[in-house]
Amino acid sequence: MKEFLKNDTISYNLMSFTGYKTLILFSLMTEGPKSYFDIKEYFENQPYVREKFSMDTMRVYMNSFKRVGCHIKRIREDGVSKYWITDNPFKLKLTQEQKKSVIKIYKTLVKNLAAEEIIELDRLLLKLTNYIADEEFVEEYHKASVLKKENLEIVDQLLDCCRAHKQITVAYNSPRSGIKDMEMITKRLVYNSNKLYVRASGLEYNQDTDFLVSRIVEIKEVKAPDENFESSKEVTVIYKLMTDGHVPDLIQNERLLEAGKDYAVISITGNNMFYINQRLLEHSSACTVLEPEQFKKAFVEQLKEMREEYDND
Amino acid sequence: MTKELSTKFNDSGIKMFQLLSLLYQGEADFKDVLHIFMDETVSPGNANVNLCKYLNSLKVFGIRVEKIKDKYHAYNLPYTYNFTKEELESIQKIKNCSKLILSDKAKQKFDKFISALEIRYDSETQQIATELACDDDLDFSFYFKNLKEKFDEFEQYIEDNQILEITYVEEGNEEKKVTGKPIDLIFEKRKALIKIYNHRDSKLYDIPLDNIRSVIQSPQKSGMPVANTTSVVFKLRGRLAQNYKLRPNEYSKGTDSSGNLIVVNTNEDISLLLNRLMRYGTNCAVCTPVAVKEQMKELLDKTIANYS
Repeated sequence: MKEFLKNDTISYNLMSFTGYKTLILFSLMTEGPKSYFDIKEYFENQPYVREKFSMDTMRVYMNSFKRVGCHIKRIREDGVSKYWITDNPFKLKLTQEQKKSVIKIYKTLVKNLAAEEIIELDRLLLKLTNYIADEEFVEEYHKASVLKKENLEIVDQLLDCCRAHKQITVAYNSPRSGIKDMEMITKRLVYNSNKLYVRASGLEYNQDTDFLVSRIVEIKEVKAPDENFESSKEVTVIYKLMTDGHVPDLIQNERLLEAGKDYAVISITGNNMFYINQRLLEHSSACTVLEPEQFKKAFVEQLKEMREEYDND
Repeated sequence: MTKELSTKFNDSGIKMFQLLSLLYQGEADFKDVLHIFMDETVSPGNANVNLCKYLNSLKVFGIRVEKIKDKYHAYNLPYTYNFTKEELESIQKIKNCSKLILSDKAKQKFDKFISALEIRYDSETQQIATELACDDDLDFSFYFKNLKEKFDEFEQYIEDNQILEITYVEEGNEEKKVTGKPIDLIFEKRKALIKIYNHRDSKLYDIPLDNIRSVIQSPQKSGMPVANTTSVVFKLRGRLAQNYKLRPNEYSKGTDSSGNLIVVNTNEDISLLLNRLMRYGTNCAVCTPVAVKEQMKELLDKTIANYS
């Protein structure tokens, strides 16, 4: 019996023929809406079936589907009825505890992954909400999603542009000047402080800037980067960081120059002094700027200015 | 008059669905499978013959069924999902993360969901999944994997609800102690932290597990709720005030007469909060409470002292 398919011939006595036809019909009807004529034609030409299939027979099969928990939708297209299994007992289901775990894992991962990975993860969860079709899970996902306020079409376009470092013109809703066109050479997407940014060399200020993706109204033009464009000169700042004995977590434009028992000497390079400044300030008392001297001087002045704020109380 | 439609159904179709339902569970016990084909009129021997017929139908349809130690496993089931390579990589990350952050009980249940998902992969997805499994580069080495034992230890502390005295180190290997109730395990920026609530100063402390040198579990249980943690009010100026996105543990009290945004922050480790506020430079200042303001002054003094 096990070898009955050896010569591509089957013996109907050795299989459940109705069970087989059930599988075919279920498969056809879960693919999308099918008319009786589509199904009849399929059965007539199916190499192992090749038999007529009446509407009454089809109804008996559909009754069986309903009995096991399938939901069959009937739609009319060009005057023809089509049948479609929109729900079935084999759809993935999640228990309350599993739902909680999925959301907990999602929330943890977004705090630890790079922007591109977060986007992929979010997309996966969105897809799962369609497969699982559980209203509560859909709601939980929408609450947790870090991309809930983003235009996903724009996010996709930006991802493509960043991969090829394309030059783009966007309509940007600036909090100061309202919607205006901005040109930039895209570098990468960055997820920081619960917000999605595109890091790009803005042609207006000629330096790397993080543009909030949610403020991009439209991507108007995409082209190869201007070969004559030269971004402003990069500056390297070297700083000493007191550590807890572990190698510090460096960001993309940082390099570890020296590591001691409780300190590290790090260089950070970039053309946007604002970001470098922010990065160093965040380390607070653990950080000492070593060079360049000019930057160090301005940095200390800034610290003093911050301190004065509290003297004025 | 509306024609009454037939309510007839076929028993073989129902049996096929019952069989598929068991196979969708990942492992179908032989006894349960055989039970589908048994009733008072069918002997076990005949039920076995019928079962073989249904298994043959699955085979002709293209579903591969294997029997391993009295359990049936099916591949290429009829209702499947398609996932891209990127989506499968995300699933791998989810699986890796689940190993670390879920309790054993929750993990067991979660694994059932993953198995149920994997059994629904279509053939294309299965192919990609096999390729990914063979690719060492995509073995996502999650940042916390070396800390698994510590996770479990602290999960237990949280469950026990007992007061802990934790000795840990900060920058410059400076040793510190904190006594309090463990609240939660947090995973942020590739660091795993334990959130401790100290009833004495009503403050929350986020301590990296990596920095913990010793833990003493007091026999005393903490019945006190974590309610009145210190709220910190700070103001933001300029563009930052316009662009600032409030965190889930923050709310705004609007703007003051100078247009500064007033933000109230609760349930955050004060040291971590102050480091974040430092990042905003002259565009930010702590307003209340006085103790935190003093802490900020000290932090600035200490930072400036690095240059003297």
